[in-house]
Amino acid sequence: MIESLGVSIWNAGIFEVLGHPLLWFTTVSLAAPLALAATGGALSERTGIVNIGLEGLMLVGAFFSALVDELVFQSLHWNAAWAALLAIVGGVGAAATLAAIFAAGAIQFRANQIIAGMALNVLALGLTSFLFASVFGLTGTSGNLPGIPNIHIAAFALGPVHFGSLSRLSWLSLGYVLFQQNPIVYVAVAAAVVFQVVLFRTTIGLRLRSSGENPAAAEASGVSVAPLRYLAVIASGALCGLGGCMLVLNQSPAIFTDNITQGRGFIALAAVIIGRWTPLGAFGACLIFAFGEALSQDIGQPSIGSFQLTSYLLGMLPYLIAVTCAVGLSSRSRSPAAAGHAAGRDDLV
Amino acid sequence: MISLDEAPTSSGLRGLAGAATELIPPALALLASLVIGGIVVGLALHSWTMPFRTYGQLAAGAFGNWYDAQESLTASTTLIFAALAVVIAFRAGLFNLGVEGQMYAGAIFSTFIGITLSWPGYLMLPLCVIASAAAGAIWALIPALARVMRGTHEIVTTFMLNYVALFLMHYLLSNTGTPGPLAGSVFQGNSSPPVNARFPVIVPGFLTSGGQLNVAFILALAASGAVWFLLSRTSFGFRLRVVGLSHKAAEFAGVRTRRVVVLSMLISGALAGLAGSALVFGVGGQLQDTWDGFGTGFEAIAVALLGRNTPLGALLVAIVFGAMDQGGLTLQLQGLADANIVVIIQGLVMFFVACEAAFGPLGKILKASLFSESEPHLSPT
Repeated sequence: MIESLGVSIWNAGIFEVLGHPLLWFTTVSLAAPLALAATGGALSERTGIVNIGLEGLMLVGAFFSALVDELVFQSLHWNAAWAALLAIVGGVGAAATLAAIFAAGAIQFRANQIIAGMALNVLALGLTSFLFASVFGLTGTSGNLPGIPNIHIAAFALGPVHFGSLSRLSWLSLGYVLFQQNPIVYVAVAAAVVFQVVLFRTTIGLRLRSSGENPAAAEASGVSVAPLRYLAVIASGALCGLGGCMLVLNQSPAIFTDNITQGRGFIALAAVIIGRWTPLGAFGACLIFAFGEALSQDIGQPSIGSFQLTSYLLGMLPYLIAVTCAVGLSSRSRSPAAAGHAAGRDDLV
Repeated sequence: MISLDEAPTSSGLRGLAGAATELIPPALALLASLVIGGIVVGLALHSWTMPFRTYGQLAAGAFGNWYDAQESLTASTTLIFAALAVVIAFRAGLFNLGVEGQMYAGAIFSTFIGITLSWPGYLMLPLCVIASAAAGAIWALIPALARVMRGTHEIVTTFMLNYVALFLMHYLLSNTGTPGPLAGSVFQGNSSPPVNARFPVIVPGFLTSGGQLNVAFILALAASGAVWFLLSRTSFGFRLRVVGLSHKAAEFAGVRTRRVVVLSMLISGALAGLAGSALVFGVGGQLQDTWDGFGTGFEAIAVALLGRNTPLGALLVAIVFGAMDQGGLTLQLQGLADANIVVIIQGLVMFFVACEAAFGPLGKILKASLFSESEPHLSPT
């Protein structure tokens, strides 16, 4: 997935490990798909729809991007760039469609949002595994599916330098950490910033939040709650779908494996809570988690004395860091008051 | 005009009709999901007869004969315990996403006891069962304490601890490189040595062509009864439900909410731990590293929600879901369809049950046509 050092960076001192640009590069790269889903989750929950189906939406986005990629590249023989672009369209579109169905249930039919959201997860897992088995069979996705390559935004200023020659964090290597990422990473950052501004600095944001805090009052003051909620849920589906696409396309060749999201949607859900229902806060929480994941990936297999820390023990690291941070940072902040409650004209009486 | 409630004469009949009307939306939800699931099968396999064969075989695989029926009930045993764990937490207003991890914790600790001690069977099995419940409860204690002392949302902590338990199990059972502390023979893949205790089989195998339904299922039935009793017949259960309905109201009423939160999380974790013991001391007789992070603990959430967060509802739905899983496996073994078709149908059922209101108008029409004769007093007098 990511350029690997191939050597353990453990034997270096702790400062050299923390100062290694690859660690930070990986952190940002792993945080992006989580952050996209978490931004969607924060947006949806701010308007009063608790969406615990983030996981399912990401999974559907991931699968349909791989499916479209395969169809366009292998069956239609279009070139790699078109295949990858259409793969994103397919993944985002599929996730947004599923989110629209969820929205119809939660808003129109006043479904219990927890049940409907969990249904989304179950349905997505079953559907993608079933279709993956029936379409791709035992062989899986083709070995030459085009992905989306990392781009080098600041090439003109920094020149071609690779990680091998950068052993410590400097202004130059920081440039690589920040400016040589996958394009979707920049979309993730932009989405978090834009939705933060929209939610907390604009009129439509005020309306969105008021639908989440007190839909009856919002309706009384002339805000149409239902359309806003539809908009937010579908947007959150699209964001999750893009996060799912990144899991598939952020590598060459692009690969989909069964249940590729591996619970990332739930981690995004946790990030929304740790980030106090703000897109930027959630982004920060995703960075913390991704840092732990990057550390466990890049650190090699160190040993303490004669006791070897296997990759399994290191695998616990991101989750332990996340729990510690969640406990340390918790603030008794509360979720939007009307989150989880259906709103309709009957509530106004 | 006589209103419905003022007609005492045919209340029994009407009660029946009322109950039947209650069942119409879920039945329609089930029907709708079977239809859509069938369309998915038909489209994926390019055949219009396949959906019917699939459903026929699914039912046969689940309850077709004594052997399959026993396998179905065995499959539902773990699910019953896990779903009860979710129910207890939900009723106290807590979302326990960590049943999966608490199951692992219970399974790991009881396996450790089960392979290191070799006491006589009548002491060994209870000890292992208690050990698994205790380990599950301790795994759930961490989120509970974080919740009452720091206000950390339990969704975050319970979910993250799943993976800690999962990786711990991978490590303990790993048979590549240096064997993990609980790893058994290399030839058995990543699994522990056989444990020194088993749940006895209920019906001797020679009577039922090798069915292996064991006492854990009876324990699961007893646990459902116990949870029902706890929730609806004890003062602690009442306090638990009050906390779940309104934290603030409970506090004003003098309920020690923190204690209730911690205790209900402990009970929830203990039930999840029992789910782990049902796996280890059941058919397999060893801890196997074949679970992944998205199994029974999450299916249990679906089961609890569909069972409307009541212990008996969860019991019924768990048996149905366990049978569906078993039927799906049979389907896959016969090469008829991928077992995941069952997961699709389960997801669709959940979604349509959540959207019950959508079937409301249809339900009314059906009710009017089905029960018009049984309600003659409805006509204006």
